[in-house]
Amino acid sequence: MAPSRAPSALLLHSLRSLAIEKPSTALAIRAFTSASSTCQEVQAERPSFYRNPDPETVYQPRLERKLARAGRPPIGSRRRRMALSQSPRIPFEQLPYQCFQEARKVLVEDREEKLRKIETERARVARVREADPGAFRGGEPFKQKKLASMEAELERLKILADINDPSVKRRFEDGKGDMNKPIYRYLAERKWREYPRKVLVQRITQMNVVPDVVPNVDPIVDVKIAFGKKAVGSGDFVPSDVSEKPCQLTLQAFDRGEKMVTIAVVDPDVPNVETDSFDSRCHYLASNITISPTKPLVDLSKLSPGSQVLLPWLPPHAQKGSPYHRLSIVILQHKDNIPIDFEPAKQKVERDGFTLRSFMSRHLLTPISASLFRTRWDESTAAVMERAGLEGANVELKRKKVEPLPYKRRNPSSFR
Amino acid sequence: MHASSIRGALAQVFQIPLRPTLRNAAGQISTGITTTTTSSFSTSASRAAKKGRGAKPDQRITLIRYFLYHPTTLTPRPLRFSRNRYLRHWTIHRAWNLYRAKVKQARQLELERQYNAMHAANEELRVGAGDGGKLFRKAQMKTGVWSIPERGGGVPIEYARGLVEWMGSTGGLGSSGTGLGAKAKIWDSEWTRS
Repeated sequence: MAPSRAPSALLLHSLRSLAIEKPSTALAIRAFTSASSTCQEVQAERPSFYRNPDPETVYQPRLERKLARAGRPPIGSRRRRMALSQSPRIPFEQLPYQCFQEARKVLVEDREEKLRKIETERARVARVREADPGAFRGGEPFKQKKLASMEAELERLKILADINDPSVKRRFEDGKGDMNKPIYRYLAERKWREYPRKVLVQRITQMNVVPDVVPNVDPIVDVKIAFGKKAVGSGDFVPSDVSEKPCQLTLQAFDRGEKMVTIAVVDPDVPNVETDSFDSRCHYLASNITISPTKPLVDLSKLSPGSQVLLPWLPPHAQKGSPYHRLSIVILQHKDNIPIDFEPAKQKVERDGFTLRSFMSRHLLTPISASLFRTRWDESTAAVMERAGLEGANVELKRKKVEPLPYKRRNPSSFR
Repeated sequence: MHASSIRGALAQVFQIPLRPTLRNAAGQISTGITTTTTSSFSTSASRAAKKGRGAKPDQRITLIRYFLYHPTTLTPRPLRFSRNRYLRHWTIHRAWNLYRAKVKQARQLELERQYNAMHAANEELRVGAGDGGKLFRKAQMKTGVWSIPERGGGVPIEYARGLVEWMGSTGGLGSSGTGLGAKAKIWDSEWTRS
């Protein structure tokens, strides 16, 4: 038996060695592709791993501590890092799943086709732009219209070229999308319109910002409100000591280019005892603010008082007994993105009895978004009002007692 | 051990009335009419009491019922993937959708091309044949398309229309005269089985 077993063992051994060699040849083939292979890099840095551990893959507690002391804390859980350090680290695009690779081939081919279309569309746009407006039957307006529609088509093609890319999807989900690129702007807008915009529209219509402050608004810019580090949802009640300092706004636009906007914070719920009704008051007004998809942050306290702030921040306050105040934040876009004249506007604007409609019509502004937060009397309101030098903290408003009509009285004299 | 515990739970859930299966029937024969099953070697009933569960329904029936009817086996498993696997799944899904859309588009274009070709040929016949469009008019006439093949038509009339309660004497092929309406009969009363 023994002599017959020996060759088979030899054969097995050779087979096994073949099987071991196979993956390494596959790796070598993969290295010839244009994409960078991380396997090679990992192998290159492995000798010095204990000297120079990688925060992605370190999992020994001692090395983790060493890294943490060096100011580079390890990334993710230890379980994940361990799995990463022991995996072959094949890039996602090269994962050896047959169906996936076939699908990638289809998508890559489609993308090339889209790129070719983009090229031809660009050439067409250039040709139309060069052309003499007299050549079109409608003249210059027709040419502009045609150009606009061709540009829209170009944008659509750019989005279509990238929308099937899993790496684009991954980057967007990680929040690392570049808002200069049409695809990420498109994805962000889609995500915003899916839910947050609906909530925003609901809040501003249910709390009647829309007819009370602005006649109508179709939000195209995402507004996020934050007081310091505290994010405030649209319509939330904000304690008055929190809202004593001006807020930071994130005005995320989704279409290309810069926008020149005016930001107004208007309180339409100031009780007026004389007329037994409510007035509106402007708590903040700033113009000539430039926002773009990549620079959405606007800190209201850091705008320049000499050229932007028409009315500085007045802390929101509600007197005791008055119903809650809606502090509505309205974003208005300037016509043709031309800044308004600062000095005359500043002289004309008034804080009390401010009406946004007349301001809009005077400076040719259109609302592009709106949001609000609410405030009401709380423990800190009196202190806030005192610090801001406002009067009326010692007054409590009460509902006027309405005398019932004689026949509705509970205990009229006829009963006695 | 795990499987047996699952079985136990399932047996409790799907408790079914006792049926005379093979095992139970054998037990009943051996014990006669007595309800408690006792070991034939033991004189005491304590073992049966300790077991305490009496006769169980057949596990196989319980399992069959579980796999046939229980909602957890009828509902498809939710897709829970790791991130990479989900992205691969998404990629394949997108590629498949793209492929389907392209096939559909190609089919549509082909139909459109065929239609346009037919239209062009007809137009050529109408205008370019030089007979004032007579050939075209003749070619477009639909009489005789629907008929009985033996009587010189193409497709049997039965394929042309749905069933109706009453039909005209010519079967809707025009008035009787020299045309097809003369030949059309909805009821051949002279027909006999030859």
